[in-house]
Amino acid sequence: MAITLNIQPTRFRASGSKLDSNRRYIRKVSSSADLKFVISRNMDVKNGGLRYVDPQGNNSDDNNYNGTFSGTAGVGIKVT
Amino acid sequence: MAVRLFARGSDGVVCIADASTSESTFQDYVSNPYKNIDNINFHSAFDYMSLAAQFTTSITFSARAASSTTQSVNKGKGSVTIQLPEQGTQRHQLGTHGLGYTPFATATRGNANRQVTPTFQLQKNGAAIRLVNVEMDSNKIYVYESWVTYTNALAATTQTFNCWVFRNPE
Repeated sequence: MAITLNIQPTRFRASGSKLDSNRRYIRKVSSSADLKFVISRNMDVKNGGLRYVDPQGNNSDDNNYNGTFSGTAGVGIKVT
Repeated sequence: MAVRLFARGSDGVVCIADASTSESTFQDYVSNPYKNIDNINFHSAFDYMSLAAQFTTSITFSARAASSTTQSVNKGKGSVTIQLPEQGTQRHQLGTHGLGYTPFATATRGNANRQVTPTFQLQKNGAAIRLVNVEMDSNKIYVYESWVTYTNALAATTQTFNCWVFRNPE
């Protein structure tokens, strides 16, 4: 059976090391993100042109694009 | 926010949540984590991703010349020569993670707002375009380049990638 809690002066582990202070985990943040997870479609093609929606949700179109696609900004992730 | 750590000896369940939560609500978090997921900082019923490797690598993408491929096609009694696009791919190594399985990985170019999203348009010049994807196998992380040129060329460019490699949730 996995050890439930293991607490040492310089290390904390819980649930068989599922949570381990020696590791770095991710959490969702609204600002100061390290990276972003893209959660939906971020490109569209119309009229021979391309719209790319960047992780902030801004559109980047080439000259031919005439569609109305609106993508979604990525989710901010902090590695702690 | 102060948090409370609760460990139940009978079955090994561990839960961390807001310490100001009432006892009855906290015990509901402990026993029913899925319906309370928004309120829980940690629960042993869930699996968590952790960072396995992080590295920064600069890659120089070569210049890609305008297409020199042509084709002669009949037009009336004569013929005309038209230019055809050229394309290619190249895999560039970003780093080694050594996990022994294919993990999730992603990369930014300096900060989170310059994330390398799938099929990221790195460069464009007229109808010439260079797209990149972050790829991974059981040992390494790569950036996979796909390019197409037509009447315009693509200049060489050096990009610095900040790579994040995650263990499978465990």
